[in-house]
Amino acid sequence: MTEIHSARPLAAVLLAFGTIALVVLFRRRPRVRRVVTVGAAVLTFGIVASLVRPVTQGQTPTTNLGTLVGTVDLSFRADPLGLIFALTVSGLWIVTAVYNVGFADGDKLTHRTRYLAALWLSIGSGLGVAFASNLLVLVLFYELTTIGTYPLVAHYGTDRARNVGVEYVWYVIGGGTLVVGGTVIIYSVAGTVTFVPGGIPELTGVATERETVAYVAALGLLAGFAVKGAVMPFHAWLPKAMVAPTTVSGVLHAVVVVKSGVFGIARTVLEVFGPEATATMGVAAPLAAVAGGTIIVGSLLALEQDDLKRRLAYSTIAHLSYVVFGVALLTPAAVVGGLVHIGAHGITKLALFFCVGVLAIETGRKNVSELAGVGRRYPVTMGVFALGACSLAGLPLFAGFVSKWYLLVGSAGVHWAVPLVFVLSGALNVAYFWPIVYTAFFETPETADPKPLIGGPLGGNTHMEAASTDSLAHPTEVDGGTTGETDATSGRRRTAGGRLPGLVTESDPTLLGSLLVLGALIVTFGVLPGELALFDLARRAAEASVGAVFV
Amino acid sequence: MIDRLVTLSTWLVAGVIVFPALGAALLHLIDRYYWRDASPRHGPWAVATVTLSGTAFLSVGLVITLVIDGPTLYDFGGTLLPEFVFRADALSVTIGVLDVILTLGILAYTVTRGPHSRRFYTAYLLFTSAVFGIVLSGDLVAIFLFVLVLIAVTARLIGFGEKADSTGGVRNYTLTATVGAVVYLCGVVVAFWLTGTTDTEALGAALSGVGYSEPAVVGSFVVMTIGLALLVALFPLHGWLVETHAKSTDPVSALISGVLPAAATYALLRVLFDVYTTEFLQANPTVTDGIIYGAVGSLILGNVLAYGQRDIKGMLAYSTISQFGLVVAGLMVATETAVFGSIIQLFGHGIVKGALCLVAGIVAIRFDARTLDEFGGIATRSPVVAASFVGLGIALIGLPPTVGFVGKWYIAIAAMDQGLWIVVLFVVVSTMLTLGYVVRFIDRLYFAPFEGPDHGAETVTLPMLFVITAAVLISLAIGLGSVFLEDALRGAIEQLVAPE
Repeated sequence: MTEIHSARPLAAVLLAFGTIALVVLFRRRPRVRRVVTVGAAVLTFGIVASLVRPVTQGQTPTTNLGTLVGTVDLSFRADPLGLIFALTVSGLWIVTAVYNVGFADGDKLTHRTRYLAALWLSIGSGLGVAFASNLLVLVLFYELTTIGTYPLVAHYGTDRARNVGVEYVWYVIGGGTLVVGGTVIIYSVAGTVTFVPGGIPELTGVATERETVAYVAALGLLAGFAVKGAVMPFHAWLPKAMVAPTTVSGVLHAVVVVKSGVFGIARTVLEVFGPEATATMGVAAPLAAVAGGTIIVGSLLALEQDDLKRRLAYSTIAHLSYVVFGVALLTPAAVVGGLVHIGAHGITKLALFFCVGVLAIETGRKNVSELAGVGRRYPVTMGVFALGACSLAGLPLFAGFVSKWYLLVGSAGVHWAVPLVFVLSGALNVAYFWPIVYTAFFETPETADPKPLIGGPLGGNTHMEAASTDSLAHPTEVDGGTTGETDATSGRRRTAGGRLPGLVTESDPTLLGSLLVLGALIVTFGVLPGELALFDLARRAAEASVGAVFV
Repeated sequence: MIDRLVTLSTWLVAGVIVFPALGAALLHLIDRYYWRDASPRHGPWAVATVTLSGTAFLSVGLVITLVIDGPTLYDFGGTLLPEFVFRADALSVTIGVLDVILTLGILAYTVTRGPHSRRFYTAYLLFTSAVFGIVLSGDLVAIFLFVLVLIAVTARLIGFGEKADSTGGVRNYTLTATVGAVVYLCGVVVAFWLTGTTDTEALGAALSGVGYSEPAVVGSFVVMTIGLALLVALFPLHGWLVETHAKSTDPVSALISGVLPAAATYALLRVLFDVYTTEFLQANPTVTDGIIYGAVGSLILGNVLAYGQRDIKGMLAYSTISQFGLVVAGLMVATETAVFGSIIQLFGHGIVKGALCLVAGIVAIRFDARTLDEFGGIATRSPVVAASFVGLGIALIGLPPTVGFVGKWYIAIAAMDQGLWIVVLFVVVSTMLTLGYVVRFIDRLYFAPFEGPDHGAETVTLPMLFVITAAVLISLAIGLGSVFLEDALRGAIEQLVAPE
């Protein structure tokens, strides 16, 4: 890798931060603010995407602003690993910015200036995390994502939202402080904190000679990052944080914030300690075990959630640990799988959250048990939801399959339990998503029944019994009439049965448009993974640290 | 060339001490004989502003000459006062500049809110003189005398408090602070008795001749340190700070929190490194460790006690105690990195805490809000003030990229290098504690419903907003540009920690 000077990594970050000023400036002109947001999102993505070509040619575009403290530079660099995260963040942010146009109206959000400014702050710091060339700069932006996200979690200002907000800050700043502690130790013993694929050379000696020190540092970094990565037992904040608006839950708590945690773990394992030191220190195996446990337990807990967003949150917890698991296995293919999953899960989970957001706006329904028959009235929304479910379950031809395939290949020779985790988790994904798809498309409120996978009688009820004891199904009709009413109360321009039948009447065009884009991405990713840069970048990142992938 | 520079800085050193005092004298005379005790509303304020601007100008000149001229200590050979020697290096002017920035910034607040009286502003000007006197003195007795002046004028300033019983507070403060100064003087007397000099440099050389393990030497150090620790308000000698903080008006609280302990800490720094030197600290690990544990204890306990405060001024006072625990701990780690961390923390804390006191004042002016519960919903009505509070709060917690983070970073790195795990651990823990009490206020500011009275946006003037916003920007600028400060101070710190 040759380092070349380029202003683009910094430009992407600065653009995001600069837009905060524009958002505040145009606070009294919502239309301008809207255009600025979408425009700046596209521009940011353009800058990030323009970095793909040089990086895949083996260059590392770097902006170095000089010393930050001591011998640490305030430097931004686009390497394969960072670019995976940056592409995911900036790409999905465009979709979110468009979706947000319809969502903010539909949800009747207040304090929109603060809301948008905080979103931009989170996105900008997410990009900073991605492009940070050393641990200290990463920590700097890592803490900034928290500052951006806190007002969004507490956004609705209810007692619950406020309590959750404070709890959220405690969790993630606590994690951030642990990371700072780890960074201090590493700087102190190695004299540098700049990422080097394969591990910081100055640190490898320390890892063997001063075992305790290296161990404490690794523990600080990994535990600190694991808080945002929602690895158990540090996950409790994530389901609670679902109290935030759905856009926030989608773009921050499925993509930017939580991924910055697992991204930090990937940086720590691959480019701070390096695979060898991580393995010899005996950190990798426990990390993998914890991640594996999180995958299973998270999926099991997802089964029990009736609240859609909470079900998605537990699913996120499980899928974030896919990334951690892949990285901790330290085999080339597993690392590729884990890194690709950053993008694959990001696209998919964002789509799922957006579907849930559309349902909440249009029907006011937020629970699985209320969804009987909604697929007929909202075919696009629930169709995309079904795509997302297939993707997360790891079915071929969908995004999630690509990452899972590599994870499986990479896990083959490690331990027999590892492939088992993936298989089991795939089954659990089906178990917690299929009832939703089934009830939406194949049931009506009259025929709906509860679907307890755990806790139900063995062998199940017969259909008639279930229907008669039905207490969960929502009594209201799902048809044009009801939704027409909802539309009227939410003051929509469009009324049911308006200008165009079908697609356009389902919801606001910005909402549906972004859903369709995400659906298309899920399929494209699954069918033509090689055509998307993410895959190539993941291969390069893995090759630089762990070794070439022979698949 | 060198000669001219030295001459110039001699004038500048004399200027920063004498100029504010002259301004104070002038103000007194004008009021007596021209205004005849019926001064125009902004008259004293104007005199103070002109004087302090001049002082700022002089101190900037001093900074430039000292930075250009490098790290050497300037010995002005007692040209100004008989027997007393003045010395200046980049460190002393750092504290001086902090004082000037704060006093100037606070003027933007007092112009509308007062106090307006001549007596306030004469004390205010003398405060600056005394601070410069402390940081430029090269003699332990001279430091003592300037500390006495500082105590006297601070007592006068506290007397302008809004609380009815502030006279009792003044008496308590004067008593406690004077005891601290006298204890310090006892240590100086012992050192004088041992060596026959009170000049810092000569004393340093003589003490190393006496021997660092000599009980009398150790005793004099401990006594001096205890006296100064009281003036810094380290736990458990912190009571006076909390009380005076609560009883003073907000602009005076800003000075008490931002500058007063900083000046005392500076004196401690001189005593530590010029008089007793790092060799003494190494020779007496028990004493060194004792002070470090005391300081980190102050760091934690200050934060824990800040938790119990629902009144914003009480919270800020305990937070000050905690921050100075960190600063002193950094000084005791006694490496170049640690001392730089302490200095930057000292400076940054002064700016941040001073601005927070003004924010507290502004909120009280417009919303009558003093306690946590009264802070609800202010952000929607006063977005700039709320955003400044958040920015300053982040610096106080010590999150990057603010000055609070950089200070902690350097101190933690240095402590790690010296194997002082406990300092690193406590820095981490104290960050979380600070977060806990700051975020409560932010939560109220933004998400609680507004309930209190609102006296209208016009009660808060533009200069007030400018000052608190500027403080946020300064804290960010130092956080990102600490390298430039490090370059400017490196020479002076090297000279201090490891001479030759």
